[in-house]
Amino acid sequence: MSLLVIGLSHHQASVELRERFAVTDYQLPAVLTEIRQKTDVEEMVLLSTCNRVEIYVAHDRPDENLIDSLKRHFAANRQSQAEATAEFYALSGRSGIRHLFRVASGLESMILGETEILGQLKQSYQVALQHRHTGRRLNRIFQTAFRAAKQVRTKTDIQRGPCSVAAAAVELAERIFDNLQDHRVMVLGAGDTSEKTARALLSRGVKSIIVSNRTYTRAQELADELQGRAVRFDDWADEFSRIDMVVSSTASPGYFLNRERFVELLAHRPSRPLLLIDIAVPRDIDPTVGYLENIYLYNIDDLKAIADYHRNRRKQEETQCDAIIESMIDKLLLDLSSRGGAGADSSPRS
Amino acid sequence: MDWPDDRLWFALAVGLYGISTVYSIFLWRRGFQRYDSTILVLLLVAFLPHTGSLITRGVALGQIPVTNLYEAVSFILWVMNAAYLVFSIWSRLRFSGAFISPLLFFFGVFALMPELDQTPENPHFTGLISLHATLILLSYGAFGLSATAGIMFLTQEHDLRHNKLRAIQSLLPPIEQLDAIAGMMQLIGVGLLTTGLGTTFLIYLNSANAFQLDVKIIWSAIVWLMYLLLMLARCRYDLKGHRFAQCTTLAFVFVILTFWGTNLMSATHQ
Repeated sequence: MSLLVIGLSHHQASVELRERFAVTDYQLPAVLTEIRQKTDVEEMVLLSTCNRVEIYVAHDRPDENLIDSLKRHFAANRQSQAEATAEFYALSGRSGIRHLFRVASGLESMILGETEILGQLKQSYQVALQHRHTGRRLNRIFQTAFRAAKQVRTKTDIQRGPCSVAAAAVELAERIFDNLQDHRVMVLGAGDTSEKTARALLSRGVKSIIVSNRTYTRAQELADELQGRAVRFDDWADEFSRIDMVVSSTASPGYFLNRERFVELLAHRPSRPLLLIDIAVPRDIDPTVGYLENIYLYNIDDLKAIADYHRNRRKQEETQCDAIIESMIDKLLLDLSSRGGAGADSSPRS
Repeated sequence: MDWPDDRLWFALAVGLYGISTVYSIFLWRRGFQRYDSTILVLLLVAFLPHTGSLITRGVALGQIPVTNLYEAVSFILWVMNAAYLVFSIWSRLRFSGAFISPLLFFFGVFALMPELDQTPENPHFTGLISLHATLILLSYGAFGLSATAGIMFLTQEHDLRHNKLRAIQSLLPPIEQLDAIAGMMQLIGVGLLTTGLGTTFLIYLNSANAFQLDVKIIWSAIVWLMYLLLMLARCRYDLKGHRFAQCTTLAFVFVILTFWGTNLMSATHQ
């Protein structure tokens, strides 16, 4: 028996290609059934996310025949041209298992160590299991992959720390505020990064979002998207006493919030922390504002430095993750061969 | 073999507080980056001989063991450790052990000085006097915990303002939560101290002795007033965050530094 993986991912395939092969949750059981019938494989799991489409197969046949057959039938199922399958990679035996374990652990993801993929993989496996597309061998391999991902998560720092500007802003907010659900955010300037930051804060449950922009219609559009409220740019200061976080990215040529203006605004505000995220270039907020009591001011460079540090740190953790994965593969192959199913293709470590 | 002396149990607990202090330094240097149960385990283990020492002394005296400075300090430290163990149910508050351990160790070593463990002339307290001493010592424990939360606040706040990377990596609780804990512990402490000091009048009402104003009574009144003003400033004038953390820490430093001296200077309380 060997595990065979064929698929395409963000590493080598464009989004145009990936979307041609993407399978929705609704389509998944039918696609699995059709490809299994046509290729005559015993066990199969199909994973389809925005970054990858992969088919995992446990089989007893020569790899070459099966790879061609799987590619052809999958392309036919997705009504795609056969030549598009040239972008597909194929991994078998130990390499295939290693790939699965790395995918489950987030090591093949666009953001190294991200956890969303594990949930997606579990969901895909669950669909295959429910529709009886898996058997003893794939069940064993996938269960071990989930355990390996758990070990990687708990024994290393691969998933620790924010890797984007928006995530860094959220982490800082969580170090300051006890419970984001009780706090309000104001977005000044409706730029792309401020929108992402606001979305990230919203995903952690902030109470409400107020958007203010020089062009009021744009503020209204963003406020609608974020299920928040728009205020005219001349009126944003009226809301100041009620907010806890400001994400600022206006196109102002200089500091549009200087220290004097801030002291004036703070006089009408209860004594509680205020997080200021200034992602505008040139900066919107005078850096000396950060010296005021209860003010926590971060600019785009501060946030980028945090994100870069954690990206590098995750990269450094990868070796340790791989060591955990290799040890789990060794145990799995030993277990499969002792059960007679023989991970049997226990090709040497590479 | 004889049952070990209560001081021996206490010394064992202090030894464990010492190990926990050394480990705390390690955690401080690492910036509290990973959840670590070592301090929790050490303080939990130390809690057992510490409790044993108080029970042994209490059984021997036939009352709550708060009759001299050694017993009083041991009792305050025990209250602080017990409160920490309760707080440690919340994983993010487990790191407070790293802030409490040095306090427990240094004051534990101090309490072990033989001169502090003098048998008083009349060690048998009435129930009212026991209640009076216990409530006041409990309030000092609460003030100690408020100061601990204050120090945690100042540490985390410093990192957030100056060393942003360490603030992100640190698993200390959010500063807003630390501020709330410091305020809550101080409120509890003021409540306990007010009740404890209130029993003074009942003690004199039930006693043949006339009320004597001594150093300890004046000191206690100053401490009560100091914490009461802090609470009023917090509620009425929004004294929160950085300034409150500084105030609660300094107030406790004052209590700790003057507690011994005033006790020794007071004929009634010695």
